[in-house]
Amino acid sequence: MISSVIATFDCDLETLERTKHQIDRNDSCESGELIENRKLPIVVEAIDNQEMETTTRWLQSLDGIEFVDVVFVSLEKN
Amino acid sequence: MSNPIHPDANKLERRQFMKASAMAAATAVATGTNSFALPVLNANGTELSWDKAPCRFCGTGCHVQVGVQDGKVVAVAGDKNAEVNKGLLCVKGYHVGSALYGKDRLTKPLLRDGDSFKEISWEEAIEIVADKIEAAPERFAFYGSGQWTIPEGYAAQKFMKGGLSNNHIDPNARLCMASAVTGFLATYGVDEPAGCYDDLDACDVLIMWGNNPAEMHPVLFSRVIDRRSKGEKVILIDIGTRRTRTTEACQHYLEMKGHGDLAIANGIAHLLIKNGTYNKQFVESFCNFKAPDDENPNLHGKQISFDEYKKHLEEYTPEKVAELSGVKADDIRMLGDLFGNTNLKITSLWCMGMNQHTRGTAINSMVHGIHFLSGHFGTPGDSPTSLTGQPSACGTVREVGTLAHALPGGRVVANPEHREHAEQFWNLPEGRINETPGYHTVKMWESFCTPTDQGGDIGTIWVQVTNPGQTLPNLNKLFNPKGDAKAGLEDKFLIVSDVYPTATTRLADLILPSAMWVEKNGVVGNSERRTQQWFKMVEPPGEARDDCWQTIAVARELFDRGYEGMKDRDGRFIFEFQDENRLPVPIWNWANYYDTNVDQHLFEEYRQFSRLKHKDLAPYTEYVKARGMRWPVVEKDGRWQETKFRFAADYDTYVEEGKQIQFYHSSTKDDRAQIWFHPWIPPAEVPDDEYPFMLCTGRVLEHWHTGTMTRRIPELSRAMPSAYIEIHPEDASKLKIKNGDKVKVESRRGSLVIQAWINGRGKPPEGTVFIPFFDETLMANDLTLDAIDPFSKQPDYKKSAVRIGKA
Repeated sequence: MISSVIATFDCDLETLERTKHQIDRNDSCESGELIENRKLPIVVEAIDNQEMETTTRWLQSLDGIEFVDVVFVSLEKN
Repeated sequence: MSNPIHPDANKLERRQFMKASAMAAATAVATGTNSFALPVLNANGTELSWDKAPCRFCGTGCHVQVGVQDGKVVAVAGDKNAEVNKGLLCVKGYHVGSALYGKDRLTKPLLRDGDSFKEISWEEAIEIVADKIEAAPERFAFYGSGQWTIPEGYAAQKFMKGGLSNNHIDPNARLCMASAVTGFLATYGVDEPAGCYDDLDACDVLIMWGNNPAEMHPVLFSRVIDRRSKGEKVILIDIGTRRTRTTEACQHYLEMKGHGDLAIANGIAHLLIKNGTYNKQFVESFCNFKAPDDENPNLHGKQISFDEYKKHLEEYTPEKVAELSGVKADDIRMLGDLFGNTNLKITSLWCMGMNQHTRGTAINSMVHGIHFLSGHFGTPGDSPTSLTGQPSACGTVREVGTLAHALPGGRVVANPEHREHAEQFWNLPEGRINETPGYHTVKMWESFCTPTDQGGDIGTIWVQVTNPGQTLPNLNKLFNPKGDAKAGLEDKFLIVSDVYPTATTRLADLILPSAMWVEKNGVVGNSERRTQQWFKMVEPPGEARDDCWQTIAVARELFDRGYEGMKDRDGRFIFEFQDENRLPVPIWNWANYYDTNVDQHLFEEYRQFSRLKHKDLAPYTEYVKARGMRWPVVEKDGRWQETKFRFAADYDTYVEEGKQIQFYHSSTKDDRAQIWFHPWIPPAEVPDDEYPFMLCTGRVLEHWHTGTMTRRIPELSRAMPSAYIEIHPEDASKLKIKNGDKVKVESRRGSLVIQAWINGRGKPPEGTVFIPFFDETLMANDLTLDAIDPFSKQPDYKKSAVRIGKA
């Protein structure tokens, strides 16, 4: 399954950079270009919905991330 | 083009392409540009086609784009052209497509045969339903929901009130937003919010009254959080009975006791008057004052003077309110100061916390009242707004009026003029519509579960798109007796149309398999007066069929038997729709149901009803083009224009020229709204020595309502497999309960053994516990109280006294 989400940050730049680095180290996430220093598009690849949702919740739990919204979901399993 | 030599290469290319498309979509939505297209794949010669639909789940009304390939939903995306969600979805977006494909979809009509069911044909099923109705039409009831589409609810409404002269039709929305309706009626004289979601973009202060939008309406909440992350100052205040994820994002958390909201609203009004910060000009120009009429209790109460109102409020000092509500006096003063500040824009949001309340009508009216008293009304961002939990609680229940006392478009059966309107629109003989309101939900099910010889005069109930076997309060009184062989209910017959087996189908006598969401056409109405349309995209499984078709097929069976009520005044079938050659289309035959657009015919007929209360709807074809429009939708210079804010001159064309604010459906006929005083009173059941804890029930993020759809999605079920009880650590320690222990929970109505969760997702204060109701194996509603609000008839699921102990 492939989905894309937008993580919205509400924090200082240092926290943002640290969190972005954490996301980049996660193999199932691929982040895009940071927009207005607060919105980060991320593509999430997962085996199934559960893994997808687990990753989304992990993103939500990271320092400085206020909200994670879903944009696109392909339901096809890998 | 496919790669015949290395098929894996195709898969990889396709995956890369999907990833690139997914990134492009997220980037475009994040930047606010619309210049991207959703992917159109070409795999094995089939294309992915996209079309719009509102999300199936809550009442927010997010629009999704649904990707269909080979007759199956394979992708979902937020709709970038939708104002509600602006391309975003909550995590339920991962599952809205999967909800169609649970392994145990109902695909055949099933008739009870002893302890099991046997498959029967649709012809037999329709005949059985018609037999039951024909034998005793006055003992028949229809129970629907806010998940009925507008055409489905309208057809059921016409079938019952116009066809059977029977008003025993009510929806599950009676259990979730009936108090919001009576609150609006008592205050404005007409139902539904004046404002809309645009208020969330303009407010300086957002107050959530017993509301958890971070989990229940996440897209709306993220809209506010997004403003804050841009650097805008928005003060978020959570007034609640337990800490939730919403609390974490708020600057202020005001923890109150059950019914504390009544005291808090009075405390704010007290301070506005005492400090001289109420808006005298607004109040004198646009408001009257009301109080309950204790000698003759009714929705409109008795008029009082400002001085009388002020006198009633005198005792609600911050200290007194602190004592009654549990909220600190300084926090009450903070609220008073905020409302007293005319430079701020304040929006109030609420949902079940204020509605599932034995004084639900009162607290709804009082929150409107403090907005009026302070003048925080009538401009974007200054608004009291109720949210709904189902996709068409507003569109179908409140606007079509699928309630026991209502007719479409804000009309009521008790009003002879309103009955005459309906008889004219439906071309029925004069006097066809019964003037006596039918049974509201609790009364309907109580009567069904009472033996006929003891006065239980409801004999057959047909349930569509809801699950009362799990959602009714006090199930051991209002539903479970149906399954008890000794209850004397052998003559009672339960018909259930649904998509999956549920707690309700378990006790059904006849089960009818239904189509869901994009397996059928639909029109719904969300929380902000927005009417939304979609077309059928995939076929339902097996023999599952549209609920609306089921209603029309039964009506036609009765018509063919010569049942007078199914004929209009010219002797024609009440659901006769003609093709372009003016010939009737036999839509009662499933094979012909989609020969014409039944939704469009029903919607255009229903649209006539929408003018009386200025809830004007546009033609169906306008909704096909739009991502919904907020009523009143008014034609101006050849264009259909929606209304964002009602009763305010700058936005609402129905406000007369020269008037700034006009409550044009005022119950006092003077264009004024009513500011209500209601006293604080305790909940219907309070903890005592025998039952010392207060139980609150509610929802969780992973599961929607009773989990009939979401519990079939394995990923969600694994993430939240079963219900639990949240307990405060101090209480748990005193009772020697540890995380994961089995806990016996008992109320005066039932008991439950359930796992403890201490310091879990939600954090109830000492003396209170929380249990979600999504789990049909652990029925929270075996415990709940069936006490109801006297006007809305809505039960209180938030305050039942229980005792707990290690099992």
